[in-house]
Amino acid sequence: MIKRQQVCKGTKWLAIVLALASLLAGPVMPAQASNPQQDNPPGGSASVQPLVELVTNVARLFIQFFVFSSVAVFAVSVARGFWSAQIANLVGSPMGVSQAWLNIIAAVFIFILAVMSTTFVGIVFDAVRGYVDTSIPIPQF
Amino acid sequence: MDLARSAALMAVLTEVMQWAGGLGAIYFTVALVTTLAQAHVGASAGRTGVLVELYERLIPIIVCLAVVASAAALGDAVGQWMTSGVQDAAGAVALWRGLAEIVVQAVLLSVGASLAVGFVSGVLGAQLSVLAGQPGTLAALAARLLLVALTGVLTLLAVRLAGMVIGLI
Repeated sequence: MIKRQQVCKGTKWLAIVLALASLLAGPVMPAQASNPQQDNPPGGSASVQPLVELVTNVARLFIQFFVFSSVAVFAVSVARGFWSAQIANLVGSPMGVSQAWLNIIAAVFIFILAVMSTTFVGIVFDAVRGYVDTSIPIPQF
Repeated sequence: MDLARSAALMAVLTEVMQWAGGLGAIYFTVALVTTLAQAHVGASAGRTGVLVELYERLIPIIVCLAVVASAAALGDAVGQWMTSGVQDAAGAVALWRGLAEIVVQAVLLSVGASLAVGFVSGVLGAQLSVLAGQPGTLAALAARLLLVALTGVLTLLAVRLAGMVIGLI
């Protein structure tokens, strides 16, 4: 009975984390990774717009897959960290628990990076957008 | 010029594009299945670096599919450039410049998507490495993310860099 309640709580937490990840990864990617250039398209870009839209859609699909996978891997990493701490405690390893804490902290840090990666891409784009030029200069020799 | 704008030629071109689109979809499906199966066989055989090879082989396949899917729009743009007529050397240079700008715009406008995918896939790979207990994961992740960002920024600034180099001549 207690185990079932724990499993239900774990499932609820997983659902909450998945919802948060979808909220962060879904709207952020197209809004910050593709719009900076679509807001200010260079001249004559209408012909390449279908190609760019298709690439963006494929990338969005990949990113959603990667982010949802990272949620699952994060859950497994945390569980594995605690499990390894238990084993280390059981066998009396002096560094086992601290190593497990390091693993868990690394898993949390990398998961935050995964969820926020589209935001980082938006930051990079915002920083570079003013310097992007698509018109090829013709020199006068 | 009249022939190029005739309805008969356009109908033939539309039919050819439909055939090409169907063949492209078939090729994409077969290439995706065989690539994934080869990666699976390689992983089963114990070969390392299977995911890297899979990633490298998937990118051209997807790019080819994207080009096939948007071939009609690209063909229209190139056709407009070609039918505008080339009377002299300046016209030829302008034609080549227009074609080159189409390629440049396609690449630069797609860099954002590839940058985001590079970030997320790098982080997911690091998560898998942490899960497996591989040492040096965070350092490898930092190097990979830095390289992804650096190459993406350099790609975005490529035209401006080329202009700077040409300006020095």
